Formats: sequence, C-alpha cells, structure tokens
Amino acid sequence: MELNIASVEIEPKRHTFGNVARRLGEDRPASRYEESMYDAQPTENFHYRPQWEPEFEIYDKNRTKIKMSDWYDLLDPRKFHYMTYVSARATQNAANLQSFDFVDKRSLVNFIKEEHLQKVYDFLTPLRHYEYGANMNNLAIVDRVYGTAMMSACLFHAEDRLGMAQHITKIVLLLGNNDVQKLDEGKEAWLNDPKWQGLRKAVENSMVVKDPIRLFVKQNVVFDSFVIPLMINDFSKEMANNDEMVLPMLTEFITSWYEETEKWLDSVIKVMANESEENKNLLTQWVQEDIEIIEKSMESLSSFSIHSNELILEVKTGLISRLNKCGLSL
Amino acid sequence: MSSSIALLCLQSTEDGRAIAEAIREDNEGVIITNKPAMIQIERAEKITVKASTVSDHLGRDWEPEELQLVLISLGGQIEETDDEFIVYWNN
Repeated sequence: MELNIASVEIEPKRHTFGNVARRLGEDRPASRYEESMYDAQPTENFHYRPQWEPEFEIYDKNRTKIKMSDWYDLLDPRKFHYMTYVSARATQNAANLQSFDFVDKRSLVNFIKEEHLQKVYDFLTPLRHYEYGANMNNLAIVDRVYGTAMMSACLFHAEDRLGMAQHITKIVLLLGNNDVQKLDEGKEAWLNDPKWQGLRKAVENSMVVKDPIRLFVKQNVVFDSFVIPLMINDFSKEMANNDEMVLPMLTEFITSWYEETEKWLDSVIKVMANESEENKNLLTQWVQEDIEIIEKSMESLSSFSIHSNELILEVKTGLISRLNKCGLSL
Repeated sequence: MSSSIALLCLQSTEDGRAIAEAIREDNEGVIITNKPAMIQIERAEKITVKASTVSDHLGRDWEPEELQLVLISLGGQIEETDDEFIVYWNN
C-alpha cells in the first residue's frame, strides 16, 4: 500500500478585517495594534444624546477646538494594545521588583540619613495625589476624545498614572517600614502644607476642563513635563549628590516610563500641529498658558535643591525645545 | 547565470509580521508570501533586517538576536551585528 501525504495550501479569503484593509489600502495581515484600534469607535446612528452634555453626540468631534480630518492619524508609536501594554509593564515591573527586593534584603534603608529620609517623605509622598489627579484627568480625556487611537492610548496612560501612584506608595512604605501614617502625613501636606498648594490648585482647576485635547495638553504635555523631571528625576539626582543611592534605584521605574511616554506625547502633538496652522496656534497658546501656571507652582516645590531656579529654568527650556521640534512656535 | 535567492521563513506571529513589514521597507524588490502560519521572504542575493526599522514597526527596542525566536528556516550565509541581520549569497 502506498500512502501519499499531499499538502494542501488553503488561501484565506481575507487577511484582516474589512475596515482595517480599507485603512491599509490592501488586504494584508495587519498588526494586532491596527486591528484593535482602527475604527473601533462607532461613528454614526447615535439615537440619543447623552443626558450629561446634550449639546454633543456621545462621540463628537466638536468637543475639542482642535480639528483633525482624521482622528486616526494620532497613532501611538509604542503600538500599545492590551497584550503589548500588559507585557511591557509586567517586564518593567519585574525589573523594578528586583530593586525593591535588593533594598529590602540588605536593609539599605537603615543607611539613609534621617534628614534625607524626612526629605523623601516631604517631597515624594504627596505626589501620590498628583498622580491620582493625572489618572482622573486622563479618564476624563477618554470620556470625551474622538477616535480609538487617542482613547485607548489615554486609557493606558490613565492606568499608568494609577500605577505610578501605587509605585510611590510602595517606595514610601518600604522606606518607612510599612508605617501607613507616612501616607496620611503626605495627604495632610497635599491638603494643607503651603508649598504644595500651588500644584494642588493647578491640578484641581484642570479637573473642570472639558475640551479633551485642552486637558491632554495641560496635564500630559505641560504639567507632567515639569512635575516628573523636577520631583522625580532632579530630586533623585539631588539625593544621589548627597550620597543616597537608594532613592534613585527606587524611582528608576518612573524615570524610564516617562522617557517612553514622551515619545507618544511628542508624536501626538507633532501630528496635530502639522495638520493645520490653526491647530498649531491653538496648541502654542495653550502650552504658553499652562507653562505660566505650573512654573509658578513649582517654585516652592523645587526648594529641595539650592539651585531651585536653575532647575525650573532647565526643565522649562527642555520642554520648549522639545515642543518646538514637534512644530509648535514657543 | 541567474543570481541565487536569499531566503527567510518566519513564523507568522505578531513579531514576525512586524519584522516582515520592516524587511519590505528596507529591501527593494523583496517577495513576501504569506503562507499558513508562515511568512516566506525571498530576494535575489541579499536580505537585510535592520534593527532600527523593526523597532519602529514593533514600537519597542528590538535586537537582531530576537530574530531567532520567530525563525523557521533560512537560505544563505549570515552576517549578524548589533544593528543588522543579513542573509546573503556570496557566489
């Protein structure tokens, strides 16, 4: 008997979804990012207007002053969809956990000078509330922005911010030997310590901004590029200059996460600014307004360093040159 | 004499598809065939996989050694550096 094993090649009728193929201009296997993101948001047949804002449809391009001919131009260069996002963060967290274990196992906290430890409590703990504010603001952007490209990326960013708040909590608990009172003191400082009130006011005022892109610029582009470089990066450097290497180890997660996030923010701003002269002027004007607010509120907070003014100036120049590279004229 | 064909067969995974797209961008005249669960990549003389292009397509840093994770088969000699993975025929 002769056994003949023949291979039959079955050509699939199509390689991706119709809506994705129309975007790509050809029927080829698309990436999971493209398939999960393109045109996932409904665009028509909205029967009822939302009760909370009846002047708009539930998904409405007019919620923001920024005009885009296609909101799906605002792609995420990190190509985050659920799987890539979760696995990227899991890998980063595993690496970060090693630093925590290292510090814990060798009881390195005991080597930190008391005065420096107090400084960490004073300048880092209240940031939990800033991060939580950023989480809420990003969820508000997700509520109102048009197109899944921005919606999904902002949702991941919102989750990141909740994660960063938790990360700061973990740092404080590790340093304070699980003393939750340190967290209560941080909240107390956020609510009542004069040096935090400027930032708190800026954050609380941002929570009523309804234009999603206005809020995106305020929170993610301007506020964060002052707060994170100053309060995390420069603060850690200041600690390192005083021979305290533990804190820089513990905050590295936030630093590297922010470097990655900047790529997404820059690309979104670049695409919006290149779309039209009106967009560019609007973005420039918004950024200028917000820089003025945040710059003032950071003055009392950068007092951890004797070069406080230089640090703020450096961060500001950094932001301006970054945004000018993206096409704004600041 | 006609030139030899350099060949790469990759698994059709998320990473494999991104690598194939990067190859399409960097190698003019490359023929990419989507087989069941496999991507067949053929080009006369030489196929260059550039790490920077693959990183752009994947949205994360990618190193040429990661190619091994999706590699089914290849035809040609190999030159691998930190920036590139090249399959070529030297005859």
